[in-house]
Amino acid sequence: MERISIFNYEAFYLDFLEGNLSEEDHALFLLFLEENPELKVVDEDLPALELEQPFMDDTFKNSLKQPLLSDKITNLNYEYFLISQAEGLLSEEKENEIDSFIAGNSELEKEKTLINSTYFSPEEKFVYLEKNSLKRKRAIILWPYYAVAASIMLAMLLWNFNRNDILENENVKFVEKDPVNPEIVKEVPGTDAKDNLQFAEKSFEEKTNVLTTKESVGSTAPTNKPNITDKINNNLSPRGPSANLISLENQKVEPIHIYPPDPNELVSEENNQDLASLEFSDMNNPIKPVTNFVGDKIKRTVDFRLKKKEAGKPSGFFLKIGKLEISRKRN
Amino acid sequence: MTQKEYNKAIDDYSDNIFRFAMKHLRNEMSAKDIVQETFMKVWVKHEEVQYSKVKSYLFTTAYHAIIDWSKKDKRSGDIDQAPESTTNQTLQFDMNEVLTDALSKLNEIQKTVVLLRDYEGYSYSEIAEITELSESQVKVYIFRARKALKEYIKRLDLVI
Repeated sequence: MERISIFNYEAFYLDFLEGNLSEEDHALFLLFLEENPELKVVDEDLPALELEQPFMDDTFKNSLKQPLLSDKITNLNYEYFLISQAEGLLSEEKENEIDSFIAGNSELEKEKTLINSTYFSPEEKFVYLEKNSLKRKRAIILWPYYAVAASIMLAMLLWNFNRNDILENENVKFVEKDPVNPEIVKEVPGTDAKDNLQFAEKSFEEKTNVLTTKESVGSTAPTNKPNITDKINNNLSPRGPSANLISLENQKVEPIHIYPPDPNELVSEENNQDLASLEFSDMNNPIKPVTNFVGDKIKRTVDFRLKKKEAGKPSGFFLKIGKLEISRKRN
Repeated sequence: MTQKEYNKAIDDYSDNIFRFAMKHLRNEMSAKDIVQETFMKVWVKHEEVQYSKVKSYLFTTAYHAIIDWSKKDKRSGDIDQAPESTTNQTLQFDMNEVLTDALSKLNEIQKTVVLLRDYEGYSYSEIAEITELSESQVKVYIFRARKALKEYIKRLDLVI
Protein backbone atom coordinates (compact mmCIF):
# COMPACT_ATOMS: atom_id res chain seq x y z
CA MET A 1 0.00 0.00 0.00
CA GLU A 2 1.30 3.39 -0.99
CA ARG A 3 2.11 5.93 1.71
CA ILE A 4 -0.29 8.59 0.29
CA SER A 5 -3.70 7.40 -0.98
CA ILE A 6 -7.19 8.78 -1.56
CA PHE A 7 -8.03 7.70 1.98
CA ASN A 8 -5.44 9.86 3.74
CA TYR A 9 -4.38 12.50 1.26
CA GLU A 10 -6.27 15.37 3.05
CA ALA A 11 -3.89 15.35 5.97
CA PHE A 12 -0.95 15.44 3.63
CA TYR A 13 -2.64 18.15 1.60
CA LEU A 14 -2.99 20.44 4.65
CA ASP A 15 0.61 19.88 5.61
CA PHE A 16 1.54 20.52 1.99
CA LEU A 17 -0.29 23.86 1.97
CA GLU A 18 1.23 24.91 5.26
CA GLY A 19 4.72 23.74 4.20
CA ASN A 20 5.03 21.17 6.91
CA LEU A 21 5.88 18.16 4.73
CA SER A 22 9.32 16.68 4.61
CA GLU A 23 11.15 16.65 1.31
CA GLU A 24 10.36 13.01 0.79
CA ASP A 25 6.67 13.44 1.62
CA HIS A 26 6.55 16.62 -0.47
CA ALA A 27 7.87 14.70 -3.52
CA LEU A 28 5.49 11.84 -2.85
CA PHE A 29 2.49 14.23 -2.53
CA LEU A 30 3.34 15.99 -5.83
CA LEU A 31 3.53 12.59 -7.49
CA PHE A 32 0.13 11.72 -5.96
CA LEU A 33 -1.44 14.92 -7.31
CA GLU A 34 -0.10 14.15 -10.81
CA GLU A 35 -1.66 10.72 -10.67
CA ASN A 36 -4.94 12.19 -9.32
CA PRO A 37 -5.38 15.62 -10.88
CA GLU A 38 -9.09 15.76 -9.95
CA LEU A 39 -8.04 16.09 -6.28
CA LYS A 40 -5.98 19.13 -6.90
CA VAL A 41 -7.41 22.20 -5.13
CA VAL A 42 -7.28 25.52 -6.91
CA ASP A 43 -6.46 28.58 -4.86
CA GLU A 44 -9.99 30.02 -5.22
CA ASP A 45 -11.41 26.99 -3.44
CA LEU A 46 -9.36 27.65 -0.37
CA PRO A 47 -11.09 29.90 2.20
CA ALA A 48 -9.53 33.29 2.39
CA LEU A 49 -8.56 33.80 5.97
CA GLU A 50 -7.71 37.36 6.71
CA LEU A 51 -6.24 38.31 9.97
CA GLU A 52 -8.49 41.01 11.48
CA GLN A 53 -6.72 43.89 13.05
CA PRO A 54 -8.31 44.68 16.42
CA PHE A 55 -9.66 48.18 16.20
CA MET A 56 -9.93 50.58 19.10
CA ASP A 57 -10.53 54.21 18.43
CA ASP A 58 -8.08 56.77 19.70
CA THR A 59 -10.56 58.54 21.90
CA PHE A 60 -11.25 55.37 23.81
CA LYS A 61 -7.59 54.53 24.09
CA ASN A 62 -6.73 58.02 25.22
CA SER A 63 -9.51 58.02 27.76
CA LEU A 64 -7.95 54.95 29.34
CA LYS A 65 -4.68 56.71 29.80
CA GLN A 66 -3.77 58.99 32.62
CA PRO A 67 -4.36 62.68 31.91
CA LEU A 68 -2.57 63.69 28.77
CA LEU A 69 -2.36 67.35 29.53
CA SER A 70 1.25 67.47 28.54
CA ASP A 71 0.69 65.64 25.24
CA LYS A 72 0.79 67.53 22.05
CA ILE A 73 -2.55 67.87 20.28
CA THR A 74 -2.58 66.02 16.98
CA ASN A 75 -5.12 64.89 14.40
CA LEU A 76 -5.30 61.56 16.21
CA ASN A 77 -6.09 62.81 19.67
CA TYR A 78 -7.84 66.15 19.12
CA GLU A 79 -11.25 64.60 19.82
CA TYR A 80 -10.11 63.57 23.27
CA PHE A 81 -9.02 67.13 23.96
CA LEU A 82 -12.29 68.53 22.65
CA ILE A 83 -14.26 66.31 25.01
CA SER A 84 -11.88 67.12 27.85
CA GLN A 85 -12.39 70.79 27.14
CA ALA A 86 -16.15 70.35 27.22
CA GLU A 87 -15.82 68.43 30.49
CA GLY A 88 -13.77 71.23 31.96
CA LEU A 89 -10.70 69.12 32.48
CA LEU A 90 -8.21 71.21 30.54
CA SER A 91 -5.95 73.86 31.91
CA GLU A 92 -6.14 77.33 30.48
CA GLU A 93 -2.94 76.72 28.57
CA LYS A 94 -4.27 73.54 27.01
CA GLU A 95 -7.58 75.20 26.17
CA ASN A 96 -5.75 77.86 24.25
CA GLU A 97 -3.76 75.17 22.48
CA ILE A 98 -6.86 73.24 21.37
CA ASP A 99 -8.60 76.44 20.34
CA SER A 100 -5.68 77.45 18.18
CA PHE A 101 -5.47 73.90 16.80
CA ILE A 102 -9.02 73.92 15.50
CA ALA A 103 -9.03 77.57 14.49
CA GLY A 104 -9.60 77.95 10.79
CA ASN A 105 -10.57 74.30 10.35
CA SER A 106 -14.31 74.19 9.78
CA GLU A 107 -14.48 70.43 10.23
CA LEU A 108 -12.87 70.60 13.64
CA GLU A 109 -15.01 73.55 14.68
CA LYS A 110 -18.06 71.57 13.70
CA GLU A 111 -16.78 68.67 15.79
CA LYS A 112 -16.40 70.97 18.75
CA THR A 113 -19.93 72.30 18.28
CA LEU A 114 -21.31 68.77 18.11
CA ILE A 115 -19.49 67.71 21.27
CA ASN A 116 -20.72 70.77 23.13
CA SER A 117 -24.26 69.96 22.08
CA THR A 118 -24.19 66.51 23.71
CA TYR A 119 -24.87 67.98 27.14
CA PHE A 120 -28.24 67.65 28.77
CA SER A 121 -29.96 70.23 30.88
CA PRO A 122 -32.51 69.22 33.52
CA GLU A 123 -36.02 69.28 32.17
CA GLU A 124 -38.17 71.04 34.72
CA LYS A 125 -41.29 69.62 33.13
CA PHE A 126 -40.59 66.34 34.86
CA VAL A 127 -41.92 66.85 38.34
CA TYR A 128 -42.90 64.13 40.73
CA LEU A 129 -46.37 65.07 41.93
CA GLU A 130 -46.94 62.34 44.45
CA LYS A 131 -44.49 63.44 47.09
CA ASN A 132 -47.04 63.42 49.87
CA SER A 133 -47.83 59.79 49.27
CA LEU A 134 -44.21 58.94 50.03
CA LYS A 135 -43.98 60.93 53.23
CA ARG A 136 -44.17 59.26 56.59
CA LYS A 137 -46.71 60.61 59.02
CA ARG A 138 -46.20 60.46 62.74
CA ALA A 139 -48.60 58.00 64.34
CA ILE A 140 -50.43 59.59 67.27
CA ILE A 141 -51.96 57.20 69.78
CA LEU A 142 -55.13 58.85 70.94
CA TRP A 143 -56.88 56.20 72.96
CA PRO A 144 -55.20 57.04 76.30
CA TYR A 145 -56.32 60.64 75.91
CA TYR A 146 -59.81 59.52 75.10
CA ALA A 147 -59.79 57.22 78.12
CA VAL A 148 -58.62 59.97 80.46
CA ALA A 149 -61.11 62.46 79.04
CA ALA A 150 -63.94 59.96 79.38
CA SER A 151 -62.90 59.15 82.95
CA ILE A 152 -62.83 62.81 83.91
CA MET A 153 -66.19 63.43 82.31
CA LEU A 154 -67.66 60.41 84.05
CA ALA A 155 -66.22 61.53 87.35
CA MET A 156 -67.50 65.06 86.96
CA LEU A 157 -70.92 63.79 85.96
CA LEU A 158 -71.13 61.53 88.95
CA TRP A 159 -69.78 64.23 91.20
CA ASN A 160 -72.39 66.66 89.97
CA PHE A 161 -75.09 64.08 90.43
CA ASN A 162 -73.81 63.19 93.88
CA ARG A 163 -73.62 66.86 94.87
CA ASN A 164 -77.27 67.48 94.06
CA ASP A 165 -78.12 64.38 95.97
CA ILE A 166 -76.13 65.61 98.98
CA LEU A 167 -77.87 68.99 98.97
CA GLU A 168 -81.24 67.40 98.83
CA ASN A 169 -80.80 64.45 101.11
CA GLU A 170 -77.66 64.48 103.15
CA ASN A 171 -77.36 67.81 104.90
CA VAL A 172 -80.89 67.70 106.24
CA LYS A 173 -82.29 64.46 107.44
CA PHE A 174 -85.58 63.69 109.02
CA VAL A 175 -85.68 60.74 111.27
CA GLU A 176 -88.84 58.80 110.94
CA LYS A 177 -89.66 56.98 114.09
CA ASP A 178 -93.08 55.71 113.18
CA PRO A 179 -94.17 53.96 110.12
CA VAL A 180 -95.82 56.11 107.57
CA ASN A 181 -99.51 55.80 107.18
CA PRO A 182 -100.19 55.99 103.53
CA GLU A 183 -103.73 57.16 104.17
CA ILE A 184 -102.65 60.40 105.64
CA VAL A 185 -99.50 61.02 103.83
CA LYS A 186 -99.45 64.36 102.27
CA GLU A 187 -97.03 64.61 99.49
CA VAL A 188 -94.82 67.58 99.71
CA PRO A 189 -93.76 68.49 96.28
CA GLY A 190 -90.15 69.04 95.51
CA THR A 191 -88.48 71.26 98.02
CA ASP A 192 -84.90 71.88 98.35
CA ALA A 193 -82.85 71.30 101.46
CA LYS A 194 -83.12 74.85 102.68
CA ASP A 195 -86.89 74.80 102.50
CA ASN A 196 -86.97 71.49 104.27
CA LEU A 197 -84.84 72.95 107.02
CA GLN A 198 -87.08 75.93 107.61
CA PHE A 199 -90.15 73.86 107.38
CA ALA A 200 -88.86 71.28 109.83
CA GLU A 201 -87.85 73.90 112.38
CA LYS A 202 -91.28 75.42 112.43
CA SER A 203 -92.84 72.03 112.56
CA PHE A 204 -90.81 71.17 115.60
CA GLU A 205 -91.94 74.33 117.40
CA GLU A 206 -95.53 73.78 116.65
CA LYS A 207 -95.27 70.10 117.60
CA THR A 208 -98.73 68.85 118.18
CA ASN A 209 -100.47 71.54 116.18
CA VAL A 210 -98.63 70.84 113.03
CA LEU A 211 -100.29 67.57 112.49
CA THR A 212 -103.46 67.79 110.57
CA THR A 213 -105.93 65.24 109.53
CA LYS A 214 -106.99 64.51 106.10
CA GLU A 215 -110.26 66.29 106.76
CA SER A 216 -108.69 69.38 108.27
CA VAL A 217 -106.43 69.75 105.29
CA GLY A 218 -109.41 69.87 103.05
CA SER A 219 -111.43 72.13 105.39
CA THR A 220 -112.12 75.66 104.39
CA ALA A 221 -113.06 76.78 107.91
CA PRO A 222 -111.18 79.77 109.08
CA THR A 223 -108.72 79.24 111.86
CA ASN A 224 -106.42 81.45 113.84
CA LYS A 225 -103.56 79.09 113.58
CA PRO A 226 -101.60 78.96 110.47
CA ASN A 227 -102.64 76.20 108.18
CA ILE A 228 -99.91 73.72 107.57
CA THR A 229 -101.18 73.22 104.05
CA ASP A 230 -100.57 76.84 103.37
CA LYS A 231 -97.10 76.46 104.68
CA ILE A 232 -96.58 73.53 102.52
CA ASN A 233 -98.00 75.27 99.54
CA ASN A 234 -95.80 78.25 100.22
CA ASN A 235 -92.87 75.98 100.16
CA LEU A 236 -93.73 74.41 96.87
CA SER A 237 -90.90 74.38 94.53
CA PRO A 238 -91.38 75.12 90.89
CA ARG A 239 -89.52 71.91 90.18
CA GLY A 240 -92.70 69.96 90.82
CA PRO A 241 -93.16 66.78 92.79
CA SER A 242 -90.09 65.17 94.13
CA ALA A 243 -89.46 61.80 95.53
CA ASN A 244 -89.20 63.19 98.99
CA LEU A 245 -92.12 62.22 101.09
CA ILE A 246 -92.80 63.64 104.49
CA SER A 247 -95.37 62.17 106.61
CA LEU A 248 -97.36 64.90 108.21
CA GLU A 249 -99.69 62.80 110.15
CA ASN A 250 -98.76 60.91 113.25
CA GLN A 251 -95.21 61.86 112.74
CA LYS A 252 -92.79 63.14 115.20
CA VAL A 253 -90.58 65.48 113.45
CA GLU A 254 -87.37 65.92 115.27
CA PRO A 255 -84.81 68.71 114.96
CA ILE A 256 -82.57 68.54 112.10
CA HIS A 257 -79.45 66.49 112.28
CA ILE A 258 -76.79 68.06 110.20
CA TYR A 259 -74.20 65.43 109.74
CA PRO A 260 -70.64 66.42 109.41
CA PRO A 261 -68.74 64.74 106.66
CA ASP A 262 -68.36 61.12 107.47
CA PRO A 263 -64.69 60.54 108.29
CA ASN A 264 -65.05 56.96 107.19
CA GLU A 265 -66.10 58.13 103.82
CA LEU A 266 -62.59 59.24 102.99
CA VAL A 267 -61.10 55.86 103.21
CA SER A 268 -57.57 55.15 102.39
CA GLU A 269 -56.67 52.63 99.80
CA GLU A 270 -55.19 50.39 102.43
CA ASN A 271 -58.47 50.28 104.32
CA ASN A 272 -60.62 49.86 101.32
CA GLN A 273 -62.39 46.65 102.08
CA ASP A 274 -64.30 46.71 98.85
CA LEU A 275 -61.24 45.81 96.91
CA ALA A 276 -60.49 42.91 99.16
CA SER A 277 -64.05 41.68 98.99
CA LEU A 278 -63.77 41.58 95.27
CA GLU A 279 -60.52 39.70 95.48
CA PHE A 280 -58.91 42.30 93.33
CA SER A 281 -56.07 43.04 95.67
CA ASP A 282 -53.62 42.92 92.81
CA MET A 283 -55.62 45.31 90.69
CA ASN A 284 -53.87 48.35 89.30
CA ASN A 285 -55.02 51.88 88.90
CA PRO A 286 -53.91 52.91 85.40
CA ILE A 287 -55.15 56.47 85.81
CA LYS A 288 -54.05 57.15 89.35
CA PRO A 289 -53.12 60.81 88.73
CA VAL A 290 -56.55 61.41 87.28
CA THR A 291 -58.40 59.73 90.11
CA ASN A 292 -56.31 61.56 92.68
CA PHE A 293 -57.00 64.86 90.96
CA VAL A 294 -60.73 64.25 90.74
CA GLY A 295 -60.78 62.98 94.34
CA ASP A 296 -59.11 66.15 95.55
CA LYS A 297 -61.54 68.30 93.67
CA ILE A 298 -64.70 66.66 94.90
CA LYS A 299 -63.36 65.81 98.36
CA ARG A 300 -64.41 62.25 97.93
CA THR A 301 -62.66 59.03 97.48
CA VAL A 302 -62.21 58.32 93.82
CA ASP A 303 -60.64 55.10 92.88
CA PHE A 304 -60.46 53.06 89.74
CA ARG A 305 -58.90 49.65 89.55
CA LEU A 306 -58.45 47.42 86.59
CA LYS A 307 -57.48 43.81 86.46
CA LYS A 308 -56.62 42.01 83.28
CA LYS A 309 -57.47 38.40 82.93
CA GLU A 310 -54.80 35.97 83.98
CA ALA A 311 -54.64 32.25 84.26
CA GLY A 312 -56.98 31.15 87.03
CA LYS A 313 -57.84 34.71 88.00
CA PRO A 314 -60.82 36.76 86.93
CA SER A 315 -60.65 40.06 85.14
CA GLY A 316 -62.72 43.08 86.01
CA PHE A 317 -62.78 46.62 87.18
CA PHE A 318 -63.72 48.58 90.26
CA LEU A 319 -64.83 52.20 90.33
CA LYS A 320 -65.52 54.11 93.52
CA ILE A 321 -66.61 57.71 93.68
CA GLY A 322 -67.67 58.70 97.17
CA LYS A 323 -70.27 56.17 98.18
CA LEU A 324 -70.87 55.03 94.68
CA GLU A 325 -69.19 51.81 93.86
CA ILE A 326 -69.33 50.01 90.61
CA SER A 327 -67.50 46.82 90.02
CA ARG A 328 -67.55 43.97 87.64
CA LYS A 329 -65.82 40.68 87.79
CA ARG A 330 -65.55 38.48 84.77
CA ASN A 331 -64.32 34.94 84.93
CA MET B 1 -31.71 60.56 59.29
CA THR B 2 -34.89 61.46 61.09
CA GLN B 3 -38.40 61.11 59.77
CA LYS B 4 -38.50 64.86 59.25
CA GLU B 5 -35.29 64.76 57.25
CA TYR B 6 -36.60 61.84 55.24
CA ASN B 7 -39.70 63.85 54.32
CA LYS B 8 -37.49 66.80 53.42
CA ALA B 9 -35.43 64.53 51.17
CA ILE B 10 -38.62 63.69 49.33
CA ASP B 11 -39.29 67.37 48.75
CA ASP B 12 -35.72 68.03 47.70
CA TYR B 13 -34.80 65.04 45.58
CA SER B 14 -37.85 63.16 44.34
CA ASP B 15 -38.01 65.35 41.22
CA ASN B 16 -34.36 64.60 40.49
CA ILE B 17 -34.86 60.87 40.88
CA PHE B 18 -37.99 61.05 38.76
CA ARG B 19 -36.16 62.86 35.94
CA PHE B 20 -33.28 60.43 36.21
CA ALA B 21 -35.65 57.48 35.91
CA MET B 22 -37.69 59.09 33.16
CA LYS B 23 -34.60 59.59 31.02
CA HIS B 24 -33.62 56.01 31.53
CA LEU B 25 -36.94 54.33 31.10
CA ARG B 26 -38.94 56.80 29.01
CA ASN B 27 -42.05 55.59 30.76
CA GLU B 28 -43.80 57.68 33.38
CA MET B 29 -45.37 54.77 35.22
CA SER B 30 -42.10 52.91 35.44
CA ALA B 31 -40.30 56.06 36.53
CA LYS B 32 -42.82 56.56 39.33
CA ASP B 33 -42.33 52.97 40.38
CA ILE B 34 -38.60 53.58 40.54
CA VAL B 35 -39.10 56.69 42.67
CA GLN B 36 -41.41 54.85 45.03
CA GLU B 37 -39.14 51.83 45.26
CA THR B 38 -36.12 54.05 45.85
CA PHE B 39 -37.66 55.96 48.73
CA MET B 40 -39.11 52.82 50.23
CA LYS B 41 -35.66 51.26 50.31
CA VAL B 42 -34.15 54.40 51.77
CA TRP B 43 -36.85 54.52 54.46
CA VAL B 44 -35.95 51.01 55.52
CA LYS B 45 -32.38 52.18 56.12
CA HIS B 46 -33.16 55.75 57.11
CA GLU B 47 -31.71 55.33 60.58
CA GLU B 48 -28.38 54.29 59.10
CA VAL B 49 -28.21 56.96 56.40
CA GLN B 50 -27.01 60.45 57.21
CA TYR B 51 -29.00 63.26 55.70
CA SER B 52 -25.84 64.77 54.19
CA LYS B 53 -25.37 61.58 52.17
CA VAL B 54 -28.96 60.91 51.33
CA LYS B 55 -28.85 62.32 47.80
CA SER B 56 -25.99 60.06 46.84
CA TYR B 57 -27.73 57.15 48.55
CA LEU B 58 -30.95 57.87 46.68
CA PHE B 59 -29.24 57.92 43.31
CA THR B 60 -27.36 54.74 44.09
CA THR B 61 -30.59 53.02 45.03
CA ALA B 62 -32.40 54.41 42.00
CA TYR B 63 -29.55 53.37 39.73
CA HIS B 64 -29.71 49.78 40.95
CA ALA B 65 -33.48 49.77 40.63
CA ILE B 66 -33.20 51.00 37.05
CA ILE B 67 -30.59 48.38 36.21
CA ASP B 68 -32.87 45.68 37.63
CA TRP B 69 -35.80 47.09 35.70
CA SER B 70 -33.76 47.17 32.48
CA LYS B 71 -32.70 43.57 32.93
CA LYS B 72 -36.31 42.56 33.11
CA ASP B 73 -37.34 44.74 30.20
CA LYS B 74 -34.57 45.14 27.70
CA ARG B 75 -34.98 48.52 26.14
CA SER B 76 -31.53 49.75 25.43
CA GLY B 77 -31.05 50.24 21.73
CA ASP B 78 -28.04 50.35 19.55
CA ILE B 79 -26.52 53.73 18.95
CA ASP B 80 -25.37 52.54 15.53
CA GLN B 81 -28.97 52.13 14.45
CA ALA B 82 -29.58 55.84 14.32
CA PRO B 83 -31.84 56.75 11.43
CA GLU B 84 -30.34 58.48 8.47
CA SER B 85 -31.13 62.12 8.12
CA THR B 86 -33.97 63.28 5.93
CA THR B 87 -35.09 66.69 4.94
CA ASN B 88 -38.16 66.50 7.15
CA GLN B 89 -36.12 65.49 10.15
CA THR B 90 -33.84 68.38 9.59
CA LEU B 91 -36.80 70.71 9.38
CA GLN B 92 -38.23 69.29 12.54
CA PHE B 93 -34.95 69.82 14.25
CA ASP B 94 -35.14 69.67 18.00
CA MET B 95 -31.81 69.05 19.60
CA ASN B 96 -33.32 68.07 22.93
CA GLU B 97 -35.47 65.37 21.37
CA VAL B 98 -32.56 64.15 19.30
CA LEU B 99 -30.38 63.95 22.37
CA THR B 100 -33.04 62.12 24.31
CA ASP B 101 -33.37 59.68 21.48
CA ALA B 102 -29.60 59.28 21.31
CA LEU B 103 -29.44 58.78 25.05
CA SER B 104 -31.92 55.95 24.84
CA LYS B 105 -29.52 54.16 22.54
CA LEU B 106 -26.73 54.17 25.10
CA ASN B 107 -26.32 51.30 27.48
CA GLU B 108 -27.50 51.76 31.05
CA ILE B 109 -24.19 52.59 32.61
CA GLN B 110 -23.39 55.22 29.98
CA LYS B 111 -26.82 56.76 30.41
CA THR B 112 -26.36 56.82 34.15
CA VAL B 113 -22.99 58.53 34.18
CA VAL B 114 -24.05 61.12 31.63
CA LEU B 115 -27.27 61.97 33.44
CA LEU B 116 -25.58 62.17 36.82
CA ARG B 117 -22.96 64.41 35.30
CA ASP B 118 -25.30 66.69 33.36
CA TYR B 119 -28.43 66.74 35.50
CA GLU B 120 -26.92 66.65 38.95
CA GLY B 121 -23.47 68.04 38.25
CA TYR B 122 -21.73 65.24 40.10
CA SER B 123 -17.98 64.92 39.88
CA TYR B 124 -16.35 61.78 38.56
CA SER B 125 -15.58 60.61 42.09
CA GLU B 126 -19.18 61.14 43.22
CA ILE B 127 -20.51 59.28 40.20
CA ALA B 128 -18.00 56.53 40.93
CA GLU B 129 -19.38 56.28 44.45
CA ILE B 130 -22.95 56.09 43.25
CA THR B 131 -22.34 53.58 40.50
CA GLU B 132 -19.73 51.63 42.44
CA LEU B 133 -17.22 52.05 39.64
CA SER B 134 -13.71 53.44 39.73
CA GLU B 135 -13.19 57.06 38.87
CA SER B 136 -11.28 56.16 35.72
CA GLN B 137 -14.06 53.82 34.64
CA VAL B 138 -16.53 56.67 35.02
CA LYS B 139 -14.31 58.87 32.91
CA VAL B 140 -14.07 56.25 30.19
CA TYR B 141 -17.83 55.73 30.14
CA ILE B 142 -18.45 59.46 29.92
CA PHE B 143 -15.97 59.92 27.08
CA ARG B 144 -17.42 57.01 25.17
CA ALA B 145 -20.94 58.28 25.73
CA ARG B 146 -20.05 61.79 24.52
CA LYS B 147 -18.44 60.38 21.43
CA ALA B 148 -21.41 58.13 20.73
CA LEU B 149 -23.85 61.02 21.20
CA LYS B 150 -21.78 63.21 18.94
CA GLU B 151 -21.73 60.53 16.25
CA TYR B 152 -25.48 60.10 16.53
CA ILE B 153 -26.09 63.79 16.03
CA LYS B 154 -23.57 63.94 13.24
CA ARG B 155 -25.26 61.06 11.47
CA LEU B 156 -28.53 62.95 11.52
CA ASP B 157 -26.73 65.84 9.91
CA LEU B 158 -28.11 68.21 12.49
CA VAL B 159 -25.48 70.81 11.98
CA ILE B 160 -25.90 73.85 14.06
